[in-house]
Amino acid sequence: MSRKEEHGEKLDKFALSEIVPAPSDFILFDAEKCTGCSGCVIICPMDLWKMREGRARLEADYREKCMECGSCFIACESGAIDFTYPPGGSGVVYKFA
Amino acid sequence: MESYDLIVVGAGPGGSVAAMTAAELGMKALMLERANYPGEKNASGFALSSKGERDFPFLKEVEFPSMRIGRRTQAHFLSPPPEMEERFSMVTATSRRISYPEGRDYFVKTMYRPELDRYLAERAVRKGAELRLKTLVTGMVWEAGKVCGVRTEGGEEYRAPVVIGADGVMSMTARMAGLREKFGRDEVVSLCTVDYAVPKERADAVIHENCFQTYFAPGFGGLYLIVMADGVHVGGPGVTNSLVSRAVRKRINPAKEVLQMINCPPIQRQLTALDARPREWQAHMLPWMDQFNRRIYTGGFMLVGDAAGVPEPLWAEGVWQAMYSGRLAAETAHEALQEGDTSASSMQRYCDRLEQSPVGQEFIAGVQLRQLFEMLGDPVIFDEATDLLVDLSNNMLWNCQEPKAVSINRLFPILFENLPLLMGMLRVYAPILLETGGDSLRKRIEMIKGVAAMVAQMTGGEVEA
Ligand SMILES: Cc1cc2nc3c(=O)[nH]c(=O)nc-3n(C[C@H](O)[C@H](O)[C@H](O)COP(=O)(O)OP(=O)(O)OC[C@H]3O[C@@H](n4cnc5c(N)ncnc54)[C@H](O)[C@@H]3O)c2cc1C
Ligand code: SF4
Ligand code: SF4
Repeated sequence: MSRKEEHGEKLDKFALSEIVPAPSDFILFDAEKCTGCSGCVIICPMDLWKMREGRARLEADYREKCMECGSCFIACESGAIDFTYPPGGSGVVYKFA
Repeated sequence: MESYDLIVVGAGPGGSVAAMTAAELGMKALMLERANYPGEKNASGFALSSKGERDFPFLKEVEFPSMRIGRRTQAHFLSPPPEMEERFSMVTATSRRISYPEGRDYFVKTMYRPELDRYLAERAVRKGAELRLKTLVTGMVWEAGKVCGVRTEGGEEYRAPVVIGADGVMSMTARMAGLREKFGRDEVVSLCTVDYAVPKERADAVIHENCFQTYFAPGFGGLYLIVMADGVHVGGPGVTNSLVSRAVRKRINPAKEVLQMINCPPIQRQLTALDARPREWQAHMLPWMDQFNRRIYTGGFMLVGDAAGVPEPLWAEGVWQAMYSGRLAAETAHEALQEGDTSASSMQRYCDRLEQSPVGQEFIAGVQLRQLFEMLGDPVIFDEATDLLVDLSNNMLWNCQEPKAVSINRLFPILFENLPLLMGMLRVYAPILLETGGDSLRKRIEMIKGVAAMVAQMTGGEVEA
């Protein structure tokens, strides 16, 4: 692996993050309210939102990849996304924050 | 059900300082934190400015393994992609005019947040506060229209006449207290950070005390490179591209931008020199508001730190602000308890004090400072501003390609050509000067007039004083 790949664009953000998957859902999505504006798709740092047939969809395995940043919740202005935190002790672990 | 004098939700810097202050004032304080340890969730730069030691002298005694002192800062202005090479760079030491000794000594100390957050929480516990980890607060207890406790996900209930929400940018307590549903798209930035491991000797040799560096390029929001004793954080982007409203409008994914800009040659050279190895990926939001937020209290309840939206409006520095607001809130809670009045108007004193404090004063020019970033976010203006810096320094001094007299004669035309840009900058700075420095500005003008009159007298001319 060249230096460039190791440092930058090819850097694997999934391999570099540690997550204790939450035992329950902490992002709730109401497809009925989604206007398909793409806000969540554009902003999510882990690419966990995808557009399908004009509406957003959250990856099924998001609990293993989500950084709990809340950006999707802020980006959504139609109330389709609700965000709480994973139960205490679970979720993302930062050792070098 | 257990009872306390004060409950603090969140054991970040804001929460721990609130609990520590309360305990020092003799209050029975409880801190509830959802993480396994303080700092586990709090992704950040992280550089603590010298204001920390000025206002919290106990910080002078701490030495964390990851700590590095920053006596220089460095800024790089790059050319547009695909080249992205340095066009103008500067290293600055602290100004001798800073009003307090720590500020003249250094800009920032860098460190890892788990070390700082743990230390602050432990200090609060040593002072007598109680800390419960792995505890997510999910509800609020109300009585007679005032907050009087919280409920956790496990169904436990804790009671106290005052609750402080120190639960960060995604504050659920703000929502539960009815202060806001969430921050707006225009009030928060979405940031990403790559942490790299670095051999300490390398960092000492390459970086020494120059541990806070920024990189800007036309069209990009900019990245910071913060070097700890044995690690590096490269993070961003700056507000022009990470403010959620703007990122969405410009269709910019902040994570992608960070990873793209890390590849620019100057950052790559720095990482190579440091023998940096990628170690951790982080994503976190941060309030970046241009006005002081007054919706931070209600009966029996106050918000502090990121939950209150207090990070300052130019760089979004937030830890000192969180600590400062945490202390003020705890002091107000103590007063309220002594007076037996925890009503909203009693809590309002905290908000007024915070607005008058140095934390609130940072917002005096918030709107104008935001304009500055907005201007520089335009790739054309950014390139022109870089041109101006390069042209001035080249033609004033650093020129070996032409006779000096030729280049020095270019200075006036350069300034003249750049008048629109300079006027644009003036539009940002003039209102700040007038609002904050009106008096001193008038005094200066009087002084100049006085000197002019003196000169006129000595030379036999006449000037109206
Ligand atoms: C990428 C980045 C870089 C930054 N760089 C700098 C910098 O260099 N210098 C600087 O001064 N500032 C910096 N900041 C800002 C700084 O990190 C914040 O301003 C600061 O952490 C705010 O402290 P706080 O105590 O208010 O909140 P936080 O540090 O966010 O702490 C909130 C705590 O509450 C807990 N919590 C949340 N909800 C609940 C709940 N419901 N129940 C129980 N616990 C809960 C969280 O786990 C967390 O521990 C940066 C921020 C980011 C995102
Ligand atoms: S919280 Fe952040 S990482 Fe998780 S899905 Fe939303 S935007 Fe993506
Ligand atoms: S931001 Fe909200 S409305 Fe827009 S696509 Fe995502 S879920 Fe739908």
